[in-house]
Amino acid sequence: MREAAGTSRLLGQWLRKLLARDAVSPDFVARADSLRLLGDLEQAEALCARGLAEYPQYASAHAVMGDIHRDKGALEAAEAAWREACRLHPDHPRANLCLAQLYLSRGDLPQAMAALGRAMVGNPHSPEVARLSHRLHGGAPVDQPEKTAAPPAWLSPARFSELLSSARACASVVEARLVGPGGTLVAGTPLAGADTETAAHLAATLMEESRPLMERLGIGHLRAAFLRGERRRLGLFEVSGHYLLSELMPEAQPGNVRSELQPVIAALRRSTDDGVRPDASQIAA
Amino acid sequence: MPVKSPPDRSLRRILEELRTQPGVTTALLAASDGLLIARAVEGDDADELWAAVSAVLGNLGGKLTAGLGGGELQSAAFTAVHCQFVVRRVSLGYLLAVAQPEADVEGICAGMETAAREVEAVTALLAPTAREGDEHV
Repeated sequence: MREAAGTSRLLGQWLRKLLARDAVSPDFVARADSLRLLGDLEQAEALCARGLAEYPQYASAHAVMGDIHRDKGALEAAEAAWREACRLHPDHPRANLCLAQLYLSRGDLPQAMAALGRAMVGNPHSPEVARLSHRLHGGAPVDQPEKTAAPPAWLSPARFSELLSSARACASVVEARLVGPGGTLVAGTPLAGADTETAAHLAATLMEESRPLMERLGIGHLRAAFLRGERRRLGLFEVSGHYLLSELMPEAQPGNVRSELQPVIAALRRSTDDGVRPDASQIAA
Repeated sequence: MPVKSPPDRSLRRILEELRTQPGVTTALLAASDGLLIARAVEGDDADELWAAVSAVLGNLGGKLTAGLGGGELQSAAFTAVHCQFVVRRVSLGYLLAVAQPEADVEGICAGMETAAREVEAVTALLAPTAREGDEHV
């Protein structure tokens, strides 16, 4: 019961916070960081500054403020904020990692190594720490953002319909359309009773907006999404910078859809890599 | 106060149980604006980022599903290069489970449904308490 009461108190605090968003609570750091990740740097900085005025000893808030300054291009202010976080919490993983990246960009290897060492104490299993450590120890610069691959030769406009017919032949797929990187419908019939342009744009946005967050988490970009709505299930597959948007059967499951569509896409890609144009009817079969 | 329906289980316990599913590495509850509400394990800095991811993808997925006549988003399963994750809409925001690439995603989705029902039960149980608390602020 004590635990339930504790949860009740936390939930009450959260609800009040939600109702009074301008009030600063110790959770302002997560909200400021979310705003930063969503690109609203002015709001993020304002919220973080208000929070720091109330909680000046909060190391993570200084670390997030450093990230906000860095995203705005103010590297000196960023360094000062990260240093303050490390002064308050010498092994702060995030602030030390950011300092290590900054020192590395300046070519100051000893400082970078020292900061990275402290970051490893705080969070030894972080993929970001591992990547930077790899780079500092002579590996390739693997922490650069992944770039969207240029459309490969096999995914030419002439073959869009071939890809769609192969996808439509899958048991879980009702209809398939191909959305280009900018969010335009490049192949397939317009959506009945829906704003095709908006839907195509949303599909591309969902796959592309997530990229900075995914990179920050060190998990790579999104390859597929399976959406279960109240009345309809949808699938989204990344196909070399394009997005295969599929309406699915009512009983479709994410694992089945993936196991049906991935071989189709791989077969189309592989057969052209080998210099042989695939036969769509064979792939569908 | 009489307990109406099952759980006197905390959100934390629900998330801890979700995390015991094979292959699941992270379980948390995020508000629809990306604020981290609760998590299975304390101390992982990445959880705040994951909470933001849940909200961004949950909100976008909801718009896409609604835009295509599919109604409100119930859940979404995502495959990234190095992991997979499932986002389940609940009245407080989104439940999230992150899993290894080879984990059984259908099994995790089923576990999310159970966890979502329990979260709703806890929320229903606690909401009046929160409102009572507000009156004294």
